[in-house]
Amino acid sequence: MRADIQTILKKQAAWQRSRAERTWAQKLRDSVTMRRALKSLKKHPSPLTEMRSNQD
Amino acid sequence: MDKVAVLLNEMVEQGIIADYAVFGAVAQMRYTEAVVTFDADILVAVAEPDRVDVLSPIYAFCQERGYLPEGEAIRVGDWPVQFIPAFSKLTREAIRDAEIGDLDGIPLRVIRADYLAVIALSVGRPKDFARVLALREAGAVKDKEISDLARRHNLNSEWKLFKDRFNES
Repeated sequence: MRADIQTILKKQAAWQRSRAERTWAQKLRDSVTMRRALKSLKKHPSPLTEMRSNQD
Repeated sequence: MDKVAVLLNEMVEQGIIADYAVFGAVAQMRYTEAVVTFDADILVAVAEPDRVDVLSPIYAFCQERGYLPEGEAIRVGDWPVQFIPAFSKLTREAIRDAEIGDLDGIPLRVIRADYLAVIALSVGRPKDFARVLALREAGAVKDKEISDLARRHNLNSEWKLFKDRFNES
């Protein structure tokens, strides 16, 4: 595997670890934020999402 | 979630429920990164398990505090909360052996990672399998712990199915 891809994967793994290492309370707050974002995205889909769903 | 923790602890203190433990995605997030979930699932050991309206005292208690039903859940702050009476030997044991998690200083009982994984195995939907994978990847639970607990609760075939499907090599 190319060295630059390995570097990217290592960075991704480290980022994932750091997200998992947040406190439980912080992660639950993150989850609420993500849920709201998802609901908002469903209510107001981006033009790209609408374009894709029209193609289905 | 702090409001939910306070409410649950108060329910135990006042004898509305005998005990409780958080499970599902909220419990999973104790071990893994944050995931999107639409409600908080709470396993409850009720004071009178033989009542037909087993959840009525819980709903009444919540209503007295201004927490109202929303679909099949009760809205407590940011969280729709689903109360699920312990429905098997496995879930009763999960409540009994629950750990005490810390939510910014507020205690919240939460089932152990091995119980979380084996309950997920027993339910067996794709999202439950994803939960087991996430717990394993986070190092929250070892295969031997899942295997031992699954064996004790006659879930050997579910565990084998999972391993056949997801284990590498």
